[in-house]
Amino acid sequence: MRKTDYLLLVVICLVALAGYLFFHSTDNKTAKLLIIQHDNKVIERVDLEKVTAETRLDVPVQDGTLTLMYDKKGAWVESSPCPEKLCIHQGKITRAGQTIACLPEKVLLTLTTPGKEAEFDAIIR
Amino acid sequence: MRKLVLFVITISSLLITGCFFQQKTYNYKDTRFLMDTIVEITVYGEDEAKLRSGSTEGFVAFKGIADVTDNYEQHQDNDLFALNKQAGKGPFVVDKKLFTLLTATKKLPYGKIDLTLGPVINLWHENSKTTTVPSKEAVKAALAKCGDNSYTLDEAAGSVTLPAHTAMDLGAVAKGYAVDRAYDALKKDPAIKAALINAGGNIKILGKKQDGKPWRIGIQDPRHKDKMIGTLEIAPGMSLATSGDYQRYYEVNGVRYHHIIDPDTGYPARNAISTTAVHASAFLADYYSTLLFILPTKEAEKIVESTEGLEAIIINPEGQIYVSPGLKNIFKAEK
Repeated sequence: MRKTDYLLLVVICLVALAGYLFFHSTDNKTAKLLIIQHDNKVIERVDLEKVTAETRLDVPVQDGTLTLMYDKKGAWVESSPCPEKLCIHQGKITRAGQTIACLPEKVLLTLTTPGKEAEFDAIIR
Repeated sequence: MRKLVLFVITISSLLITGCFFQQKTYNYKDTRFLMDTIVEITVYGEDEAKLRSGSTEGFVAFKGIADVTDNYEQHQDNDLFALNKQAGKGPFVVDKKLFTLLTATKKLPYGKIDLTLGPVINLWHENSKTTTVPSKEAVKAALAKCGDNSYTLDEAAGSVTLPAHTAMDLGAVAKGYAVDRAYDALKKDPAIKAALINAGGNIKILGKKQDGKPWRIGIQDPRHKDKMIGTLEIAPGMSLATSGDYQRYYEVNGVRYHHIIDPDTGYPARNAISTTAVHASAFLADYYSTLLFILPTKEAEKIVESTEGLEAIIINPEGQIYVSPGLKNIFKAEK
């Protein structure tokens, strides 16, 4: 085997590695994306990796204002004008696949992973 | 040696080319608010446009059941709301979908769940709005109106007869039944290779995941909302349902009043804090998750172990977790 053959093998391996990295570049198992929906429309997408401090978001809803909070780890509903406050009872969501819903005010928070690999396909509670 | 190099180049080229030309699989997730919960349908396949229409068909089937089983709002003149208004007035012809569901509920084993518990459920529902506990007399009076499943069906006429003052509430079975109907609609669609239906914890799975890995369903810790008690790896065609005291509840003087009512007492059941039932039928998973929640733990475990096709996880108020024998290999406890 000549020196050029070895060189060719190295080149092939590098190309294969680059291809692998290209096709798997979106698989980030730890990154979390928070999707906030109101009335079936996405109003904000937040990459939690990039959040540096606890952040407050006021969503105008039919009975007033629903206040939600998020930080690097997850999201929760701080206050809501809905009667039963079930959305507040749901606490903080921190894992991909979890959701918080406020049915009367039609607000939905979903934590997901931007990559193909979610930790869970669904979470039941 | 040159042959070897040529061989390596050919294989590498084929692999890289394969990556470029492999059939892409899409997933499409649609979320809607139905039956007082969030309903998510996620479908997987190769044609994105067909996935959208396929998912819509699933929702149409789901909503068909949601509408006829809604006991708080009338959607058509022969639905559950209309039926409850006809209590004590003789036979009432109901929608075919509702009649089929009521026929299925008549065949359910164990009479513990009373589907005519409407008066008690409505009483708690009204009190939840003012965060108050109904008086013992009010609970007793509401319970006296309940009929111990005393509805009768006339198959030939497609009619239901409800005794006076009773009201049906199908909360223990309707979501699971609707999930089954959505599943049937998705299964008929050749464009849908796999799907996951999740109606507020009533889940059903269609087909295999593209990566060949099992479907992983996380089960939330009932007392620590940011934690899981474990993961279930679920096979295609199976369904799960969870009942718990930690989602729909209110507190008065530190006492939690949740929405799952014991038909014997008229008060929220206290034998479990979370029950998850696994069954091929989402309708039965929904029914059993409620039944197991109401029954004393030992009795519930006996039913799980003697009912074919039923598996369960039961967490009692002390936090002890029962995992039925058939789940031991597919339940991974959280460390």
